[in-house]
Amino acid sequence: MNWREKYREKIVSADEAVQCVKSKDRVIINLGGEPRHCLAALALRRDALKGVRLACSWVYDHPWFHPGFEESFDVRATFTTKATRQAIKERRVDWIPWLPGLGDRDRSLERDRGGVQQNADVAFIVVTPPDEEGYCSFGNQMWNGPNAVRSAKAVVAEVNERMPFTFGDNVHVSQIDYLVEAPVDSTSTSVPGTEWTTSNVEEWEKAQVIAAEAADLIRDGDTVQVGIGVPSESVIHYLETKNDIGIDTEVIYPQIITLMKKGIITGARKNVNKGKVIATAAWIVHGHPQEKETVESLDHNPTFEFRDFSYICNVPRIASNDNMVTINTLLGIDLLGQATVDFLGGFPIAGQGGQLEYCIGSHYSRGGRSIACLLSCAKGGKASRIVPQFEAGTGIGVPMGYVDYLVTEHGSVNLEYKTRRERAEAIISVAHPNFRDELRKAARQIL
Amino acid sequence: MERWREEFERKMISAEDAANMVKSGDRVAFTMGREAYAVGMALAVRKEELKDVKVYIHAPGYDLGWYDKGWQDSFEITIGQPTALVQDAVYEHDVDVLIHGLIPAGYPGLRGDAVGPDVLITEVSAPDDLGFCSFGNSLWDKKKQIQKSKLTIAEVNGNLIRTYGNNYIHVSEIDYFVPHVSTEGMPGKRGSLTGREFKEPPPYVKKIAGYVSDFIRDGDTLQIGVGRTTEPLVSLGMLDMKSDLGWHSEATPPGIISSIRSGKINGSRKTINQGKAVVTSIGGSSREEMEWVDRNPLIWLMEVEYLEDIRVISAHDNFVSINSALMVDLVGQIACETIGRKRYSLSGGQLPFACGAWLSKGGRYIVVLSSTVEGRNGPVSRIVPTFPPGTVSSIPAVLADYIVTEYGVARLAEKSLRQRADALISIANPDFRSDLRKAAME
Repeated sequence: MNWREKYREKIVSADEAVQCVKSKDRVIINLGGEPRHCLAALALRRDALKGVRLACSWVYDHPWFHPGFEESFDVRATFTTKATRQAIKERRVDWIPWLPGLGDRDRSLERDRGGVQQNADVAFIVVTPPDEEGYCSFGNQMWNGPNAVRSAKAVVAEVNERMPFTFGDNVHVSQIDYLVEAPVDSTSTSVPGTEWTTSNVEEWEKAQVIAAEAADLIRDGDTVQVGIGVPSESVIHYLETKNDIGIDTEVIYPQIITLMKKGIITGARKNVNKGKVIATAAWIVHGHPQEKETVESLDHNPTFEFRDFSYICNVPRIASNDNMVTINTLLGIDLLGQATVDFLGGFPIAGQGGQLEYCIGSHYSRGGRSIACLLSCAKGGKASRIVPQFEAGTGIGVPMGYVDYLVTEHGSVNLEYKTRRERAEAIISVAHPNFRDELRKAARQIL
Repeated sequence: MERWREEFERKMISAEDAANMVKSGDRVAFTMGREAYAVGMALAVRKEELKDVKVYIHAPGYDLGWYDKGWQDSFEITIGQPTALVQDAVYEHDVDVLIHGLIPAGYPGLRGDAVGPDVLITEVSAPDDLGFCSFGNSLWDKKKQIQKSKLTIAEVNGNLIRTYGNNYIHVSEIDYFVPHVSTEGMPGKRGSLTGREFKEPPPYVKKIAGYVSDFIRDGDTLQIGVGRTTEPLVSLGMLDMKSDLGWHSEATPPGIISSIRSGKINGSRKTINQGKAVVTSIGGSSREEMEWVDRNPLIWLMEVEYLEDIRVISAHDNFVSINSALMVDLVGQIACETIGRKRYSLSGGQLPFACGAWLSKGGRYIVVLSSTVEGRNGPVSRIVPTFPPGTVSSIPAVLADYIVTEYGVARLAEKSLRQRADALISIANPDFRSDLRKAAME
């Protein structure tokens, strides 16, 4: 039987597909792009199911974030997003701290381990229609998809025609148990992405100052990772005067595609994956002027290589590129240089992503550097994001010693091989001037 | 006479002459391991004539006077590891602490284009027939430091052992030599040639040794960190009935050298450096053990840069990293350097070993700690809802894997916040559990 026949046999409706989920099952859902038709059908099975564990990063709103679903669905979140923040606060969703780059299938299959990425009963993924050979692509949102397919007992794939077909890790029709063709006319069958919003103008302007400053620390031939956050994402804009930049990152932003077309991003000096742009997802911004162009550029483009999140964040792999530069946005930093990226005052407000792995990887890379971007103030200038000490319950995402350069709108400083006091001085020198005296006073007491 | 012999004799000077090469404003570094005592003493004596000399000593072992108040104008001291000798001085702001990333490099660091110290002071053995000296029982980053420094002075200690691995330096690479002065009987002596003295372990460690033992399988490669809880584990039977173990660790806690001798640790199933016990420093528990280590091909002293490279660590299958912590919070953040502002230790290689163990096929990362610590007003739980302000969070929560106290084992890997809190509360001291549960609810 060839794959086309198999494909036809596996096509079912969303309602039929979700029948494979049983009470107490562990269900893992493709991060970044949820199969919304299947999940809507799953929610309808509330009264038939008990204690089904669902793990995802949750971009879209789902019924189980709201009261009344607690007994049927035990919901876990690997990131906190707008969709889940309230539910986490109200304990309907539980947050799982995890590191994508350190998950090892052989470890996770041991009893009592795994659960986030692997070891699932059912995996829900989103794929493109198959190519001539029967391979489907994960489109612009791969994340943990390939690993989920490899380890789950049953795989349900929602087919989304609008997603671009990308290369790298693919999934063959034979690996899928149920295929659900999403209705093309539905608005919930758009390319997975985010809505375009014009952010706070003043903050945006400050982010540009930071980005330009950070771009000065990047040299021709560097391989760059760009973390999520306006300041770090904006750095790409300021690389126009550089040459032979390589990209090895989690997410491709539209600006990266622009610089590829201009011949600035070539990956020519990479030690591994030479000439390729390596990532696990691409940001499609709905309503953005570049939306259509981004989708078209990704489609069947062999320059892009999409790989599983665990491969992207593998520390030895990251370190194997010389001059690996990581650029990330922090939420706050203390005077020792401990950075928080996901967890403020006892509450998770984002997710760790691959920041820690990239910071460590760049540490081992010959010529590697880790650059942290930080808006010096929060709350419209009323609070400094540079603090003497974090309040109790703050999560440290990057331990002290792994941020090499700190960049704010007041300048950039190198923290490498500085003592506690030298670090504090350097960090204070890029704090907002209104807070410097206060910080200096605190530093004298604690250091 | 061979060329190196002439060179060696020509370069031999007195400790005083060596100390006189230091000028006001210089940056002086002592290499990791034991500080060279003769040169250190001769330098401290120059207190009145020197100003603003920056001195880096990784883990102070001898009291040369300059940790006291009143010395800071002459010698500004920076340390890496806050040994008992300097903990108070650090707390009192008299001594500063160097912060670094993964590689516990000495001042001013191994990476990139960092500028080396003006004067580096180290300790070596007498040269062999080819003119190579050894660094004795501790190598760390000494070779890199010598490459980076402008001037290197080495105290020649005929008692130092020789080992295999990369533990050598040629006479031509060192600028001046100084005869060694015995420190036998000195107060505050650490890391001596005969190893550390054995201290009676606290009673809770025996239970922890039992729990951890359950996780260790034949053929595992082990790393065991420094600390009051980790060091006695082997002597307390953690490795009883195990075989074909491998060793890849910074140092050798009591019981390791004898396990290598008996063949319990034979490295036969290591997937890299098979058959070798790989360390960067080695300490026996008797002179006899150190004599056994001397020129023993089973033991490799490698540079710390290699030893703690995550790529090297993760190349071992079944790598088990066992380290101690001071506190763990209910999310799973691990503090192993400070409690509040008070600095007790250094995380050392814990982060690279933790990452490496995570990446190793079949690897495990185990953190051991007592459930309570004696505080000012009675015992305090080491498992806490949140850290006291100022505490350094050494290991991010996402890396927490197994946490072990005398009350059992908590497995945190990939668990949710609530599951983590439950698991940690179940291994806290029973007296504190209800308080912790209440705090967790918030």
